[in-house]
Amino acid sequence: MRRLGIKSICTLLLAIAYSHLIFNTVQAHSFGERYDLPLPLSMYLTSAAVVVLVSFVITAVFLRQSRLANLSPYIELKSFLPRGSLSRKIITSILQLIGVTLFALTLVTAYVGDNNTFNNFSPTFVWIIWWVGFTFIVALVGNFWPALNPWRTLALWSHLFKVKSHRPYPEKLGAWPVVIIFIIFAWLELIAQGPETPKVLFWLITIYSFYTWLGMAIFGINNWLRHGDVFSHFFNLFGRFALFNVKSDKVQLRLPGSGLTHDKPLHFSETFFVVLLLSTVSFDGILETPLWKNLLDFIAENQLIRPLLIDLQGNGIDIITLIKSLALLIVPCLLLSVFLIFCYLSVKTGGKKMSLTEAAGHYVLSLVPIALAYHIAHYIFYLMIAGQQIIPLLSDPFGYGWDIFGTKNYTMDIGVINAKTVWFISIYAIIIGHIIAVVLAHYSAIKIYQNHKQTLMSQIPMLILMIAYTMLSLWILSQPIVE
Amino acid sequence: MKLSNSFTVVLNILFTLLVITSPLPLGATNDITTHRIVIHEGKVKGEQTLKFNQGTSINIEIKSDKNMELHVHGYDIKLDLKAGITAKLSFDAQVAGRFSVTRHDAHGNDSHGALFYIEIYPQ
Repeated sequence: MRRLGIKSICTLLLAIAYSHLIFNTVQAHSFGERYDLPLPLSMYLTSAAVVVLVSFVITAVFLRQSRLANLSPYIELKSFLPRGSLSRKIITSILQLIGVTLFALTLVTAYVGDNNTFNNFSPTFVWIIWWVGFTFIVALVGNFWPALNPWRTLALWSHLFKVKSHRPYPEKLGAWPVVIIFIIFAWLELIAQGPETPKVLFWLITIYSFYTWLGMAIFGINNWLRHGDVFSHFFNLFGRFALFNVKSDKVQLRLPGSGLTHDKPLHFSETFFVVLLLSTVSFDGILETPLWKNLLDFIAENQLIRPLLIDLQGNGIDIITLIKSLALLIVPCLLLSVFLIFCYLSVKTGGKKMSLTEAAGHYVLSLVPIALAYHIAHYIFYLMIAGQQIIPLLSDPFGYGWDIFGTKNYTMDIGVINAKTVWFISIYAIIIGHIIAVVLAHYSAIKIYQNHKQTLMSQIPMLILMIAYTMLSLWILSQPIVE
Repeated sequence: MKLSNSFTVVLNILFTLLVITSPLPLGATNDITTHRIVIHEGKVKGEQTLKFNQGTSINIEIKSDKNMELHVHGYDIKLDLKAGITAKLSFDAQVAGRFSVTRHDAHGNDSHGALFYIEIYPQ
């Protein structure tokens, strides 16, 4: 069974990889610029149809197979690098060294180097290579953050955090501190202009470093990273989808997405964190749609709130930033409400009594593949083009005019990946993400209900939610990007 | 066993999707070879997105009521405009994508950044 699956996957991947690569050397300009073409209507409609069709096919499969109740998609296909093995130690040490070196380079270039965003190593490295590129790797390959995490490595090396009298992390806090810090981070990433500037980035990193080391000092390194650290949470969540599961005792190869299964429902703060993540992923795309632009124009021209707007502007508050910030807070709450409504419907049709937060905690992880698929579709073009900026920056990280590796005069190639290839990657990612999400939701339901009919009935609201969510992603991709 | 069959079915559906969508027209084809853009008081009158096919030559006649320097992003082409005088923007549509055209002096994440867009569709 496994061999058949892998062969089919390979065939599919080969089929996807038809692309006409046209090379053209031109120079692009703004930081984080994107040239994505809107998804054509024909592809949007076909994908939508496939998504709906596939949802029913999967439901039909589960309807017929009562034996599936005993199966879990979480199968370990192979394991590597057991704890204590030499290769594991070597790889871990190398990753730790790389993490600390890049961290040091980022800090130094940010503080000492040219304060121009394009000439300095740190903004491109942090916002494109690390935040977008590394997240891709974590979500698809495996979560290597624990080894690469420079804050953890430095904490370990310094031996300062080995004090015995650590407080236990208060259970009641849950993941709420992480939620708050992530909102701040999302605001800095998506709305604020400052963090593109090297000097601002330096101070942000410094502040975060103090915060996280303080957390480690109070609660102990591992406890802090597991409960209170925002990046560990983020990479841990996306890493659950990946092919490789990096555990402390071994590294497992598993089916993609199977790491999103769970035994216990998530605590509500964790559920909220996942919903927040999902919203920020879509939010970035929404901010670039004509619909959003029209909304901003409508607000700016509305006569009723005009006096308020003029008043705010007089006090030095930028209206656009204010509206975007409010949207950043509203969208997750909106998504959460919609999600909870569908959870409620699921519980009602399933017939078993369950609290809303418990149901939400069961189902929320199955939404992650849809968000991840959109993330891939949204960022692949961006990563391949804007990511090229790192090549000249490696030769001249400070912007002093050096040319260490001879790549200083590398000009960006905007033809490196074809628009058609990007479209196909996008729709395949979205369809596959949707399939995995539906399968995961079914498995969650089986675990809750044990009974066949109840499982299926409870899944109908969830299926509708997932189809809607996938349609939203497809819609955003079909919108022309408006600056 | 059943699971693998369904899995194969789904993959075959995706394969069929690939085959179906390949010959589908993927964007507007333009028979008109020259487009005209008129910029008045910092805004473009009329159609703000011009669509072209990849591999064709693009010719756009642009007239502005004020002096300004235009910048085609992606291709990184600059065009000087003098008030009232029509200038021609010509280049080969070698790379597909959606490229904004802005005033060179007004960059950044300004929500009214782009004057108009050039969309080049792959064939």
